[in-house]
Amino acid sequence: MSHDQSVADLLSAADPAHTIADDELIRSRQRSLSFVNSEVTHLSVGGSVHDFHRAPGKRHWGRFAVAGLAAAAVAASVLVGSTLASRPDGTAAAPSATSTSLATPSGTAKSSLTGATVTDSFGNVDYYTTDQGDTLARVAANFHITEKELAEFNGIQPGSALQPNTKLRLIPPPGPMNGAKGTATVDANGIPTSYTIEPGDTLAGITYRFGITDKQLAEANKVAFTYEKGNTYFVRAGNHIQLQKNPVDSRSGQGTSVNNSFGQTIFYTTVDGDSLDSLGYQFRCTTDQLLRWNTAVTADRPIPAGTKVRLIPGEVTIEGAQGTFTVDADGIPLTYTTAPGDTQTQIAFRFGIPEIADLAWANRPLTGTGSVWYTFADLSSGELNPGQTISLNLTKPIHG
Amino acid sequence: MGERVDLERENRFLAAHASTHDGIYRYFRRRTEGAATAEDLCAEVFRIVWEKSGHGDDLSAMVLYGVARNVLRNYDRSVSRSAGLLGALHLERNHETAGDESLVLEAIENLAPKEREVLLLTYWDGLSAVEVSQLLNTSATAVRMRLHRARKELGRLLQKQSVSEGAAE
Repeated sequence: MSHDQSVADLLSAADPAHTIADDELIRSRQRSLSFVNSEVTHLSVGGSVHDFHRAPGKRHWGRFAVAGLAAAAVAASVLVGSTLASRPDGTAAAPSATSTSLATPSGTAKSSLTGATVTDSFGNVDYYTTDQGDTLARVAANFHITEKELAEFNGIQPGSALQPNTKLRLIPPPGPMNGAKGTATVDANGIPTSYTIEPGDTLAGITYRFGITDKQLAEANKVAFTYEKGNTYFVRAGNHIQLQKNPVDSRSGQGTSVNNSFGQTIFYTTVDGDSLDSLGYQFRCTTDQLLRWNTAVTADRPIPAGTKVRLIPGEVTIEGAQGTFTVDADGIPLTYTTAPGDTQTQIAFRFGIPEIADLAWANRPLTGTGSVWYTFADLSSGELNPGQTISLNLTKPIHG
Repeated sequence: MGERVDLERENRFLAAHASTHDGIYRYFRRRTEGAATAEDLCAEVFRIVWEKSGHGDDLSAMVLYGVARNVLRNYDRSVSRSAGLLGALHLERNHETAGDESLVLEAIENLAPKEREVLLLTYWDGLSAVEVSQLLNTSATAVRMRLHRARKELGRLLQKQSVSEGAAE
């Protein structure tokens, strides 16, 4: 029996799983949950929905094609390693009416349709008014939907002739459908503007019903587009979400930015034309967040040019990140001293650190096999022991 | 009604995930190179499990390990195909491991595949003989037999190693 015992000891000593770091497990746990759609409480660990707006794109998560579920629609527009604050003008997908290169039968380019269109705030064409000579097939091909769909959206028979001056609907008919059973508000032009999420709704259902892309939906709600969670972290029953973005001044977005060591913009100095909306779309912060983090800014007055706006909580403590911190001369965070109940996720969020792996890298030990030197009070929730001074800066790492 | 079914499905999936994720992740870390691969394969397992949950399938731990085993086999096949190393065990080589441990790993690699699998499922993954027998679709007696042979063979290999090392010095 002593022989058996020694085999067991030798084997367990040689077990490669001994080198598994805790954050490795946490990451894999989160990632392997990404297939569950909507309303999963796991995705809200440690904070409100708003606190997840900057949930970043994981670097290598896009490699694995995610099949099925809501992600199917996302897969068409995978944004691997998406950065946080893509500029609104860069993220708005090309309106369908202008992307004529795809699957258009010869001779039916966009120019061949002469009727009037109604577009939404992203430039997606939601309605088309027929002109002389238009056919269902040509209109459908032009807007990249099938003839059957177009007929269904308008309650007509496929193949039937079109009368000139008929306003055709290019998005599904109003009312609940599978994956989007809630109620929507619609503006005077028939463009859906907001929506209340019902249990069982999916990202794919919502974007299909309202004729927008998942990236546009993220922008309209001033949240980062994150592929790895199927972008469903704000798709939860009861949430009232925006389907369109408000107009912003064309002069906006030209101010100067201060980035932290992780490349995320943490301060922005405004120019004329900047507004809570323009900042929100550009840096993916909600109006609530901006007002909370910037007491000098008020909701009812324009932001004066030259205002230095904070784009992270920073000095504003949040749940799960109540400790104190130091900054350098430019206001870029350097170190942080943990308070009881602090979690990695919330600390990262408070200081604009894109992902926990980045925080870990600034705190990697130089010896041993662990990924970080700091210690945890509760591993599964990522809660740290209080009183540890950790690095918030990639250029000034602390190694324990 | 559909909502209730969805919720039930989600709960079953989440329970299965909570109880077996770490074990399955370790399963892959022990048998493949690096964290990124293990993460990929683990995600693939739970994608499949999520689909299974939609069909009302059994989601017990051994079913999940069975999925993991198939995913690993597919992965090994694709790796072997590209590397031309059919049947090689892709154990992670940690450069910091002590000499003793790498000797053990080498001895493990020299075991017959069937014996090796039983040995590692037992000592690394901590499965019982009954669980291993369910997973491998064989009898518990056969599992115990293989385990016995594997232990004996491993002891022999380790002894041989130490002898040949002694001779080299």
